[in-house]
Order: sequence, then structure tokens, then C-alpha cells
Amino acid sequence: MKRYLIYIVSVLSFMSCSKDVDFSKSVMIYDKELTDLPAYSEWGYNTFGVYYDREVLISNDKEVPLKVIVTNNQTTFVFTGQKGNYSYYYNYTYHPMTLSLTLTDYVPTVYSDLSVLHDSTIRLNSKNCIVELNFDDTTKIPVKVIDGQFYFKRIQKVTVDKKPQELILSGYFDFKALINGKPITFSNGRFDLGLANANFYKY
Amino acid sequence: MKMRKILVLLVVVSLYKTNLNAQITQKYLNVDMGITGFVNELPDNLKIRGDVPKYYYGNEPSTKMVNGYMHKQFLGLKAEIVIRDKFGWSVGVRYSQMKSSITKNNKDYGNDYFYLVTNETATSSEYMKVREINQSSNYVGVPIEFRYFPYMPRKFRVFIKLAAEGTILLQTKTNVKFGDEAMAKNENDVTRNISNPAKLSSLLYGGFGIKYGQKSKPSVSIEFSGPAWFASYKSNGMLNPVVGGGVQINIQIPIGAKTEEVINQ
Repeated sequence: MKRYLIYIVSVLSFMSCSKDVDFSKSVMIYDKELTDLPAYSEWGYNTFGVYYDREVLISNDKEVPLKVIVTNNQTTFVFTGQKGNYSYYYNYTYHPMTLSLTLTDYVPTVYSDLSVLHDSTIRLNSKNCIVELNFDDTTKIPVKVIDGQFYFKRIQKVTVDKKPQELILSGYFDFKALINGKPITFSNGRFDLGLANANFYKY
Repeated sequence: MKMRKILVLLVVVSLYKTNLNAQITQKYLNVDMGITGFVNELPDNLKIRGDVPKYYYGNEPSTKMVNGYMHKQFLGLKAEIVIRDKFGWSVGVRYSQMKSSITKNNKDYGNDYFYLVTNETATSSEYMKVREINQSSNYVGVPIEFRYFPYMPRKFRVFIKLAAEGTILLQTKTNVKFGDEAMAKNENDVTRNISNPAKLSSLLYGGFGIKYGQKSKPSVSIEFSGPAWFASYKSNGMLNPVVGGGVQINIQIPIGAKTEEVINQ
């Protein structure tokens, strides 16, 4: 009984917490060597980026960079950004691009349950893993992964002024895949993303 | 290292001259006061979350938006011997106060607080919203200064200076202003992440200035003191001083001036 009570209280406390607006912003700090990509960080800067052959898929401050959707006995991590890097003058005509990673048979109850992924690697060519791409909000393009991985290097529970705030998911990814029969390499991927009740969907 | 060699050389030359020409020295009592500001760096152990400027277009690199301020103010008493109207060396006692503060540059960034990591494990991070961290440290020290006057006595005299000061920490106090004042009860969570200054420290500095006044009468000198370096970069409290510069005022009262004049005649 006591265990259930603790569980309910912790679930309610995570669900009821209001996220600080500063933790919703994207703080883009570029990598000093791979200057097209954000530097790897663990601050919850809400950024991600990956080389898509010689192009980049990178987060911006207009799209929500991460949504986690739990439905139909599966969990999908939706990374939304843009194809190609920013330009000061052409910032408004970006092309949205989404990379989705679906894990079947994994159903977290609340967003804080994802902390079990801390320091874990997901092989992207395994049977319970589906990767998809989406350009300009059109239909999803299935990605046949040849080889690659998603590494959740660090998942932290964050509190601000003693109140639960969010989870910060930080890590690396890279993979080779066939997209419409064409081989493509996603390399030097990195992410530093906040996950709270606002971008966690379960239905 | 080079500075130390020059200082040692000056001491040797001054003492040698003092012995040979003891009869042509002039003694003074100096009251000195001044202020020195330091360019500084935040220590690595202070983990502050970055932010983006208020007017952000999504394409600017985001930088740390906090500023560190560090200055030392002091008041002291020194005895000085001026040899052949050219070289002066002095030693004394000085009370000084080092004040350091970290604040957010809220001119460009919306909120006036920043996020400081107060506790961290592999799977958790605790942040606190902090408006300002202030640290004040009091010292007593012994300054040793060497002055060189390139021109013969006149009402206005220019001089250059090399000096060192060894200090002992008397007391240090750190206080925190929180984004949410109700968090004040958790001040220890912040201060335990803040470095305290070392018990002993030393400062090397140079300077140049102008002295106004007759040779055997009370005079005043104003000088630019700098560059100033702490011998140990990381032991000066919550900020790491890189280099400093400031202003110093000396009020100089001659002692035994009549005797010195008789000897010169």
C-alpha cells in the first residue's frame, strides 16, 4: 500500500509541475569542430543535429525539437528540425524535417519513466525498432537501417528550486540506411533535449 | 619569474646604496589607499546554464550571460626610505577587502536570474535560480614597494613602481540573492559550491604616478597601479583573477627631514 502511495505521489508531482519557460527555449551553441552541428551538451538546451550525408538535419527555435508519443503499445521519439543550416537572412524559409524512432513493446507510463534509458544503447537495425523520415510535413518515408545505434548517454531528472522540472535526454547517434533504395549515412548525431509533460503524449 | 628577479635586484641595489650612503637618505611615513579591479574568469566548478539573448534570431551562438566583478580596496601605513632622491623602498601594513560578485547581464537577457547547478549526480541535477552571488573577504597584509624617480626633486615628480604584497585572510563571507526569495533558506546549497579564498596569498604589481610636494614637506602622490597579478590564480575565492589595474593615493609625511638637510649641507 505504501509503495503504491509513493508511486502515485511521485507520478502526480511530475505531472503537475509547471515547466520553467527558460527550459523550453533552444540554446544553440555550435560545435567548434563540426561547426554545422550543435556542440554536445547535457544542459537541456533543446538542440540536436546530425549530418545527413553532406546536408544537416538540425533543430531550430520554431519547431518543438522532441515529442515522445506513446500509443498502440509503442513509443516514438519524434525529432523535428530543419534540413540545412540556418541563414540569418533566409531563416524564415526553412524546410522542416523529422526523424522518428519507434520502439515497439516499450510503454512508459509517465515521462519520468524514460530515465531507465540512462546509459543505454538502442541498435537501430533490431526488430523492435522502426526509423522513419519526413520532409516538409509530407508522408513518412520508411528507413531501412543497415547498421547504427542511438546512445542515451545521460538522462537526468532536473529540479529547479527544489521542484521537479523535466528530464534531460543527452546522447549520440549515427546510422547507415537505405532511403527509397538509396544509401544514406547519418553521422555525428547528438542531442540534448528536455522532456516534460508538455511534450510527452500518451493516448 | 622575470618580475621576481627585477624585484630582488632592486632590493639588493637599494640595500647596497643604503649602506654606502646612509647619510643621504630621507625617511617618510606614508598613508596609502586605493582600489584595484580585476579582469576575472568564472571557475570551472561553478556550473551555470547558458541562455539566449532576448532578441534571438536562432542563428547566433549563445554564450554565458553572467558577469563576474572583482575588486580590492585597501588602506595602509608604510615607512619609506628614499635614497639619493632616486630610489624609494617602503614596507608597511595594509588592511584590504576583496569584493567579488556574479550577476546576470539582464540588459540583453530577459530574466535577472541565472540557473546554477547546486547538486549533481549521473542521473539528476538540481538547479537554483540565483540573482546574485557576493563574496567579501578581509585581509591584513605587508606591502613592499620600490619606487624609482628618474628626475631630480621638483614640485611634480614622476615615478615608476614595482611592488609585492603578502596577505593573510582574516574573514570571508558569501551571500546569495535568489530568484525566488523563499529559497533563501537553502543558501548553503549554493555556497557549498563556491570556493573560499586561501589563507595566504600574494600579489605582484607595478605602477607609475606623479608625486606633488616639496622634498622635505608633506606631499601627495597619485598613481596608476597595474598590471597586478596574484601569484596563485585559483586561490582567491569564487572568481579567478587574471590581471588587475587601479588607482592608489599616497599621503607622504617626511620624518627627520631637518637632520637630512644638515647632512646634505
